[in-house]
Amino acid sequence: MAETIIGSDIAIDGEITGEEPLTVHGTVRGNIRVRDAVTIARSAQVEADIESESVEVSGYVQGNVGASDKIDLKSGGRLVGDCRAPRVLIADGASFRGNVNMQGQQ
Amino acid sequence: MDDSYSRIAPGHRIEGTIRAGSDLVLEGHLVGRLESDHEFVVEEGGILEADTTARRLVVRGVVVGDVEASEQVIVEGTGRIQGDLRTGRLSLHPGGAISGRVETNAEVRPPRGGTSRGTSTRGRAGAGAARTSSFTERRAGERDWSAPPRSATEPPRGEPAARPAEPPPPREEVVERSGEPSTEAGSSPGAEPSREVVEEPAWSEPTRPGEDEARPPRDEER
Repeated sequence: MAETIIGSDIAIDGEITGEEPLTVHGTVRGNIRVRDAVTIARSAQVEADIESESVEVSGYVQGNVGASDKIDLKSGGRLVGDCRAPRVLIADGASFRGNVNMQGQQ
Repeated sequence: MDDSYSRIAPGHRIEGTIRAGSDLVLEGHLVGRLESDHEFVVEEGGILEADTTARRLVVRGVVVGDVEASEQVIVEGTGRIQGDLRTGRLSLHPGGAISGRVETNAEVRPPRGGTSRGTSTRGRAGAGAARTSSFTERRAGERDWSAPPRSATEPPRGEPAARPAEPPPPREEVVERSGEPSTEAGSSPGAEPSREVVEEPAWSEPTRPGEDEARPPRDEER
């Protein structure tokens, strides 16, 4: 299991890059560029632009999110920023403010 | 699952400042500055290029940068630290290496880790990274831990250790070792190829007098 997990008591100011999946329960400010998948868990506070293949948001994200496959905004998730992905899912109960671009211009 | 569990996986790189209010395991690459009020573990293969303040630091990988630990630093057999080290207690296991000034029983203010904002930094982020390039380049090739040559930082065997002009703080010392059995072991065939520095007998195996006799003479001069 080669996954990075940023726990709820971890705060990062800066940039996270890599290939394997990333899960954030804590605080990240800056930039996230991870190839496979990014999961923003319920307790997470993220002020960062996110680039990945698929991005799942159950916590709070302020920043632009780009995914080459899909963005999944879960119930309870809050996203302030623009979404760019071929597939965008927004669950009932999620909050979102920003633009959606599903044209696939990666 | 406990959502405070944290690890940085191999292949992941984080550049910036991390404040950790829980234990954190590094198997990837962290550059910048680290403040932890818990335990921080650099696993084998992990690289920490950061000035670090932690309560406990366990090193099985590579640390480049200055380290302050309010409680304890453990350098295991695969661990390397290049930088100055101030800690309450230090355990350097056989095979482990430190290159830099070392001060044990140091008064280190426990870091304010965690997710609290506005933790003061010493404005030295990147100081560890700045002097890292040659170190990591060397590592990228062969893990040539025998460099730099011993003569660069150590006086010839049998002479008192050369000190800087200013009087060194109490109990400070410079430890420079190679992971490989060095030639000095040849003078005492029965000696272990590597030695262990144990600064606090209270919590770990005390140094046995018998071992001292088997060691190279420079050990006794400290």
